[in-house]
Amino acid sequence: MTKRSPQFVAIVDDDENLCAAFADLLRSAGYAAEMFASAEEFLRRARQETLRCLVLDLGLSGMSGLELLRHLRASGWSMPIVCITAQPDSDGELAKQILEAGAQTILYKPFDSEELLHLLQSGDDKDKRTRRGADG
Amino acid sequence: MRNTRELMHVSSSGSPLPLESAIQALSAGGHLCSIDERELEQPELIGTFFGIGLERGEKCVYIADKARETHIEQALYARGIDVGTALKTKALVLMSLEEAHLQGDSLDPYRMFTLWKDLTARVREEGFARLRGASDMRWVLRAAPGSLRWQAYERHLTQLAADSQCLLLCQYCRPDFRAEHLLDVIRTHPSVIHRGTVAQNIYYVPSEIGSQTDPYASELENLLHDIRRRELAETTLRATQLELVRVSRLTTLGELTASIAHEVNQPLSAIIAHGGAVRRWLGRTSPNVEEAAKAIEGVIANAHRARDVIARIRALATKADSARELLDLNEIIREALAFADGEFRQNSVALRTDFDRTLPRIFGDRVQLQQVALNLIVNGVEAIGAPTEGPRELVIRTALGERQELHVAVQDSGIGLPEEDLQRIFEPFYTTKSQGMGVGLSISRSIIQAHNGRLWAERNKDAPGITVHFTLPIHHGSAVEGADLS
Repeated sequence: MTKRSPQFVAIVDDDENLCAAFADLLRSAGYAAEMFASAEEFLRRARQETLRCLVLDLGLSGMSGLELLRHLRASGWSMPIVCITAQPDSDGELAKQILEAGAQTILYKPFDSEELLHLLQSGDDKDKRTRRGADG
Repeated sequence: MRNTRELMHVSSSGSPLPLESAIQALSAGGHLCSIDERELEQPELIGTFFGIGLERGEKCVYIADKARETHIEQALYARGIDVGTALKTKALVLMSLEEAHLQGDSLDPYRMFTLWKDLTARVREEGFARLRGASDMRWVLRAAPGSLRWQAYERHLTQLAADSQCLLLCQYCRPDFRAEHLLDVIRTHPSVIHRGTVAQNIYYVPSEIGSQTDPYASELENLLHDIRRRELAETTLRATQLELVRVSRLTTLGELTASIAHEVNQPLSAIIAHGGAVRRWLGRTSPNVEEAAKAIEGVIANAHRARDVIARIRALATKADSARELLDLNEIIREALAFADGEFRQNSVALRTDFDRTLPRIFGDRVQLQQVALNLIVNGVEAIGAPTEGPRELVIRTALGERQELHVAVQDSGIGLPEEDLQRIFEPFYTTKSQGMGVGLSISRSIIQAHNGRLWAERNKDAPGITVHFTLPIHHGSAVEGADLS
């Protein structure tokens, strides 16, 4: 029996306008998007089994994106996580930290919307391949 | 009594240059007087004045009583000048009063002026770069100090120095002259040396004014000239202060580059995302125009956000003159907070505001007060600094204070400052930060004072960190302009 695919791409960004814009983009590409305004809200409301991917802003007020990332990985959440940030990272230190903490990649704002969709798509393809392998 | 302002020769730190450096810095074509408190100062000054001239290949001529010659020679020896050779080559000429100024026992300004004129005319032929002349002016006492002829002599010397690019120094030993005569001396010399400071003489009266024969008309012209010059000086000072405030504002903006980039990148990211969505909604086999239209609304709204950020930056970077208007202080602080948003994120600092919404309005300069609020907010957030265990919170309160004034308090939860540093944070160029010039708080205090308010800091009573307070008077009735920055 094929496992049911998780439904949502979660977006955690405390900028309401940006959150809505990402949700619009994801919907236009056929994804269902779920928006969260803070790390705390995500931890309260999100359910791991419904998420196919998490788009996580690092510069959250309150619990930071990096703290949430570490917390999720430590708690066994395994979905792909794409970090986004408007912070400069000329020495790549931030990228190093988030990769070490278990994120798939980091995108620096403002990034090309197709880049995000491409990442989600390749994650899906990989997921399908993995599932096909497991089913076969 | 007016204070002498000594602004001409100052070091980068603002203090007067040592005499040596100030004399080195004198440009050719100058006519100076020295008002010497003691006779002993005179040869010392000549040692420096001529020493520099001789080192530069100039011809140095000193006119004084014969008895002074030994002192001059000693002062030059002390400087390492080969006085013997200098005298032999006529690079140094020590001329007695009798030879120079006096004919018999009477003052002859015309003869003296001719002497200087001849010396300047010959100096190049003699192979010197230029003339540097000096004279002990006590010979005037033998004649009629303060007379119009004598003043005319000094004015002609100013002209001669400018025309021939020579440097002329007249030495007046203060105890020997009456104050009224020294006032004339000051009025007739463009530069003054006093107590080791070389100063541009703001009381100098140019010859076209000072040469009036009617003393009342001359005094009237002096006063009018002085009034004009003071106004000009004060206008220039005000403009300089405004420019300093603006430069400090730009520095603060520079420190906020990362925050500003964040503020602009957020709406740009949203525009790109909505734009990508539009392309996809319309690129479908059955285009979804309704969704595309909604996404375009998102593009427009976010473009407006970006425009607002730019407008805020432009307003803060403005070069406009100080302009006073009726203002809502809470709004000013909210606008400043919009700039500092990125700083809060970057430093993981939470913001708590406790604004009194019933505050009366104040009369002030929007941009300058925003600058103060921004400075205090950014300083507060940075003071909280590196992650610590305690609360990381900046609290901003506004309230109606005692004495009918508005009170703003910006309280940080940083590690605080020792009492002695707390008193120094308002000094210019004092900083505890690794970046920044250390003028933000000093300028903030000037701005608040110019608005008739007060700005001070104190350590938090029950918690670490400090609170910076400022007050501003409530605006009553008509729009009366406050004091300028000064």
